Formats: sequence, structure tokens, C-alpha cells
Amino acid sequence: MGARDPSRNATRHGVLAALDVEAVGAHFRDLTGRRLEEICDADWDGSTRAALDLATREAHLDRAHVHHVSCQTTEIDPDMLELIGHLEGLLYFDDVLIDTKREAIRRMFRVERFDVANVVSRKRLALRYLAEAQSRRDSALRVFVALGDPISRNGERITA
Amino acid sequence: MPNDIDGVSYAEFTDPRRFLLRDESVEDYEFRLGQLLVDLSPANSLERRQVELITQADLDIDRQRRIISGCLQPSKVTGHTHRAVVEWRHASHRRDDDDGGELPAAAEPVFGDRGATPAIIRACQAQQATIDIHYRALSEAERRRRMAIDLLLQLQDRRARRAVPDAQVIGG
Repeated sequence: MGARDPSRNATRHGVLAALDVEAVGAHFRDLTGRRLEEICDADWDGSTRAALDLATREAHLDRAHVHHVSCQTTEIDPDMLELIGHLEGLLYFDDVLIDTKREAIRRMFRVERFDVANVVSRKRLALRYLAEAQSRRDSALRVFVALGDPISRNGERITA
Repeated sequence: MPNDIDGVSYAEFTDPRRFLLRDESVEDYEFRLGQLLVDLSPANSLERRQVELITQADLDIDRQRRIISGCLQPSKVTGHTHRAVVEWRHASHRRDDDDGGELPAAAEPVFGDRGATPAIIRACQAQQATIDIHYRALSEAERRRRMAIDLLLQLQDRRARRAVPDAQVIGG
């Protein structure tokens, strides 16, 4: 088995995974009042593109948020619990040598430490992806507001 | 969410069941969202979305504090494997001594007990990595809330300024 490609982490954690078209469409409808399918080629001006970009970022943000929350549980991994169950069975089994039990305990402590480190690592990644998704969404919102809703005063216009 | 509570429609907001943990309730989230909707008076979908993000960040702040507090309970000093081994040793000794005593269950948290400090410190040391990441998540949630409030105020300020008619130059 080769080394895992770290660039696949984001896909694995959902931030760069294939977009849910329905979620993007729902955000687009909220922003523009129009369905994505109704937009013809001639309608793709700067503000419509900005709305689509914002809708996409909103969908990414929702997904990153859901993933972040799903990583917050402090419950132990079910596989780890099963392993501990096996260990308990082994400990109470009188025919097993005490040295064998000691070795089993030592290995279980190692696996549990690895499990905790893995959980912390997943939480750290989820937090990073959420922060990135939030930052990109906020930038898209600023562009959308400036393009789709220009103020005629104070020189706040942004050109596409 | 199809239900309306106290005149606030939750239909346009993200279904909270997608991002709530098992110890959090939909009603509490909707109550919090409703309160913020009343307090911050969003006027359009962009502003309502900002209020939703503020509520989510608010909820995350409480969640992280709760998790950190849970990690610092003295009963969390031992991991699952440790507990299994201690129970086994206890059972072995009980069999040898035949005293028939039971291993005491993990105590419920007691507040105001200053004698628990050493046990809390041991719990903190035992779960240092976990606590660190939750403190980071807490400060990140606070930052998200600040940013969301700031953006909402900018949107509302922009709306208010747009309502003011442009000045007309007279004469010249």
C-alpha cells in the first residue's frame, strides 16, 4: 500500500468534494429569486456570476460546518470499544498466561493512544476546512453585495 | 423546518438536525435563533443568513465550553483501556479476598468542591491534546461570531445608506 496523498484530505473531509447541485440551487434561489435552470447564456453578467459563486461558497460552508460538528463527539471509536471488549474477555480468561495478558494490555494502550491522536487530527482538519470555507464565503458575499446591490453614493462600486 | 414558532418562519433556514449533537435540542436552537432574529431585525435573506451563522457560532461556543468542561471532569482521568484493566484487577483482588465489594461507579460532577482540583489537573494532563483542540475550536467559533456580526452590521448599514436619497446639486 503506497503513502496516502495528503491533497486528498480535503476531498475526504467534504470541503472539495463534488458539489451538491440542489444545495447550490437553493442558495442561488434565495439570493436571486430565480432558479438556476432559468438562467440563459445572455443572463450571465457579473452580478449573476457573483450570486452563483456565493451560492457555491454557501453550500461549501454548510458542508464544512456539518462535518466539523460530526467530528466533535468525544465518543470512542466503535472498533476500539470492540477491541477493549475482547481485551476484557481475555483478562477474565484464567487459562491465559499472565505475561500474555500483560502484553495484550500494553498493546491496547498503544492502540488507544493512536486512536486519540487520530480523533484530534480529524478535529483539527475539520476546523481548518471550516475556517477556510467561512473565509471564502465571506469574500464572495462582499463581492456579491457590491456587484448586485451597488450604492450610487460614496464610490463603493466594484466592476466585474 | 416546516414549523413556525411565535411568528418566526424557520422554513428558509438550514435544518438544525443536520448539525446538532445528541445532547442538543432543535427547540433550544430555534429559540436562540428566534431571539436573535427579534434582536437583530434582519430585513432580507442575506441578513437572515448572517443571523443564522451567528446563531450557529453561538451554539458552537457553548458546545466547545461544554466539551472542555466534560474533559476536565475527574472521572475522565482514565481511558477506556485503563478502566477495563482497573476493573479486572479489582475483580481479581475481590476474588482473592472474597470481600464481595463493588467497584465504585464514576462519580457525578459536584460543583464547588475545591478538593477536586488535583483530580482536574490530572484529567487535564491526561487529555491535553483533546482539550487543546477544543480550546482552538472555541476561539475559532468566537472569531466566526465576531466576523458574522460585523458583516451583518455592514449589510444593515449599507441598506440604511441606500434608503437615503442622493443629494441633488442645485444651480451651478
